[in-house]
Amino acid sequence: MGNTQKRYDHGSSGGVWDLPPPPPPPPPSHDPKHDPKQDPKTDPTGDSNSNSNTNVNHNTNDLDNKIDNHVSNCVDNTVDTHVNVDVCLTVDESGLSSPVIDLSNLNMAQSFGSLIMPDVVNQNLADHSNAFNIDQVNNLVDNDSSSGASVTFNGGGGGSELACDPWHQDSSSPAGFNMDAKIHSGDSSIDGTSNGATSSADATLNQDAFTQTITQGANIQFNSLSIQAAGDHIQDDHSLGS
Amino acid sequence: MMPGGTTEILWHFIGHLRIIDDISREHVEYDGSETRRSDEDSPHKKLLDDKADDPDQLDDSARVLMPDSVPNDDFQFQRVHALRADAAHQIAAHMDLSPPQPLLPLFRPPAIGVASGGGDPNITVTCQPGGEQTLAQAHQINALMDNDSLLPAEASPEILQGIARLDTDVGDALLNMADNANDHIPQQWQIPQDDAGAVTFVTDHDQNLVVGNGTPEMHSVEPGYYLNGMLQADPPPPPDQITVPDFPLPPADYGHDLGQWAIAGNNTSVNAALIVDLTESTRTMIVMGDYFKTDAIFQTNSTMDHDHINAAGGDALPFVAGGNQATNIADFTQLPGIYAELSATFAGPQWHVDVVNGDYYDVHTLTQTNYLFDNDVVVQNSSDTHFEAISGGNELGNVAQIFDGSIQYDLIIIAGAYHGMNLIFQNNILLNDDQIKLLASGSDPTQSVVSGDNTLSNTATIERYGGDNIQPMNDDVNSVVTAVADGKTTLDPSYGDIIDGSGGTFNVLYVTGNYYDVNALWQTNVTSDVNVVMQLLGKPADGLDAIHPIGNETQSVVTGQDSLSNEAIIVDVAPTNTYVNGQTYGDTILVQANLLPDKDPAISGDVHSLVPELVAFVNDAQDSTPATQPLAAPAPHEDPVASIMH
Repeated sequence: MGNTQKRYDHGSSGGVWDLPPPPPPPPPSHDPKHDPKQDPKTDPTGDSNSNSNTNVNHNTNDLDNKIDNHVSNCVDNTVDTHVNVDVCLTVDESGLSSPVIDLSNLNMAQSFGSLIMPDVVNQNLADHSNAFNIDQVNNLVDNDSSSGASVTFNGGGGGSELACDPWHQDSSSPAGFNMDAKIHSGDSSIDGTSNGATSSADATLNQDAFTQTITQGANIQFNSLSIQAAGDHIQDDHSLGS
Repeated sequence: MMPGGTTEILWHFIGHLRIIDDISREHVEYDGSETRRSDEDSPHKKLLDDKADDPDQLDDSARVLMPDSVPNDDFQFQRVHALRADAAHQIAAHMDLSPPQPLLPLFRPPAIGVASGGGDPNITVTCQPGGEQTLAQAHQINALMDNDSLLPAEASPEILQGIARLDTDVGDALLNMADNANDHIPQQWQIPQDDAGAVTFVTDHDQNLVVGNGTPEMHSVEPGYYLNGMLQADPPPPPDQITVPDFPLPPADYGHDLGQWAIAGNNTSVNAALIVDLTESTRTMIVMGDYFKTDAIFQTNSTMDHDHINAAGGDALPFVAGGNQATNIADFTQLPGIYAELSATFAGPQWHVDVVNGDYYDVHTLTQTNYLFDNDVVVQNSSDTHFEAISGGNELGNVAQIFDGSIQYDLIIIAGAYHGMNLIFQNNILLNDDQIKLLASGSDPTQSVVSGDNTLSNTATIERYGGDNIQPMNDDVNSVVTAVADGKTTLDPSYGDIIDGSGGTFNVLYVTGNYYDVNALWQTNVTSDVNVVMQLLGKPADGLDAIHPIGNETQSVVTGQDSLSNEAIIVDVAPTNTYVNGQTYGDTILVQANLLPDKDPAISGDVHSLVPELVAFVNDAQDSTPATQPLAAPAPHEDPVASIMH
């Protein structure tokens, strides 16, 4: 059972933009550098328990911008597990009714921020039998807040085609950019007892001249499970997430 | 991060379903004609390969059916499509599905009524403890809280209070929607979602059938293909005949023109599950007690989508505030038993009997749930940029496949009752109330809004092979049961004429108690995508046209286009022939509902109250924002927001 948490905090720079001397830097990228990491655990016995929790915050700014990047990682997960291997398959009939859609698993008191997973295991078989009980849980809190991100052009009309090129200043046509960006990432938590679950919280902010892209969503949670019970005890499961 | 990622996975999965299903059938035919015949009686076996003495080698190499797992591609999902295309060839090569070779006359099974040649003509019976039982339960849960805010300045206390109030009311609205959907599912079918609870429910349900003398329930239907509650005479092509779209899907490209794009919806939640149950894939089953078989599908789609859209200052395109699609498809398919078209042979001369003392369990329960909260507050205030704000676009997926059993037994004898049930529950809940405001000043942008266009779909298939040829008990069959129950070690060759065989060793499972054969799936998607989006587009700065084209400004908001889907298939391979000594009970249950709950006043009030607060907040933030650019000249254009708001 592994629980790996990774945190990446790239390039937090502050201050206002000053004109750098030539030569010009490489052109700014329009694509956020997304670098998802995974750390799957491989169990040669065939029982795979892999938990990896990845937070990626990658800010790309080829111009000098003020960036305040804060990553808060909070694991808040409650697992209520009862295992009773001695009880046969008899259940009090009064307990039969159970809502098909049960939102009580989401903790209302914490604005649905934590997941309560009741897992009642009641399996009792003799020899020559297979018993599987597999739980895969991804629980991710990625409540991002971004404020004050702005891009403005203060270049004026200018008389030169280079008027807006920050690397070739024309004193007769002053040009300038204002760029300011700030983003708060979310929280990521994962059930420590689940099999093959991956969750992540990542927020990217890419800002370059005249194009501003702020991505706060686009999260992925994915569980995959395969069980084969055909005379041998074989199981295989794994998860992906970004 | 990957448009179409989980969608690709789903297609891969669905492809496997049909591929495995087809190969299962081919393999059964293959297994019944070659593998079984190679396992001849003892004198002949010595003339064959010694490996035939090890039944495991025969079973595992030729009878196990299993696709590759869904690939752990580490974001290389484009490979999935190719894998799907090659899957059939890979599995076929692995299992050596070459056509069976003609057997030499020496090894040809005797005709019915004739004992095997040479030696003792009697049937020898070997009993041993055995019988592979399975209890499998799994839960797959995704829970994502992606409640984002994008504001031009730090949120004021009023804004924060408004967002907190909205979160609370969203929770209450979802609980109400869940209660409403639960109310449409018969109370007696709301059962614990685990093995023990399912078995107990089946026992209780079948007992009620006995008490009610087999009277069908209120929601009993004829088997067939149902679309939104209507039986269809001409069902569409099955999934394996549908053209697979090209992958990967192209990412959305909003160009580089000036304007504002807000993607606060466009979320995907998908559950996909397959259970292939081969445990009862015998030629014959004998039930000394009662026989129960029930198939049931319950499907609901609940949608709340009340939007308020205002646009001014631009060239507004028709808003897409509706266009939501909710679909329920249920398919109860009955196919002939897998031995129906294969010739039967003498059942002998060796019988291997696996004995289970007590009840036998073949139970699979799978729960798949996606919880997604994507309630966003987005304010875009710009004039000189191409501004994309993506706060939606989340993808949640659960995929599971369970393969249980093998083509192993020729005969199953149950001293007690047979309890069989296939259950599929599929529910989608979408809360997608939005408040959207687009304002432009100093330019004439194209304005577009998609706040609807959501898709909710449930597709469930229970595909049964066999189980439809049920005959009453007769003296001959009863004599076979008695002989096995008494533990006789030799039988008269005439016993081999009573029950169909496939030649070679005759494998029997004898259960002294009841037999529980249960497959149950629960699939649920709950998505809350409540958004408040404001776009304020000002006049581009003077001189900007020198370096950037002006005149194609755009304001675009997507708060809908959410997709919630459940796909489930249970392939239940039942005995080709069944003899029942007691009573036979069967039923097919279907509930399909597309629900449109009443408008929730709390959420509507929240999103309404947030808008004026945001307007005041934007104005205040703009008025108080100091110049941050020491080299910047005074802004050459007027304040766009102030000119609109004041």
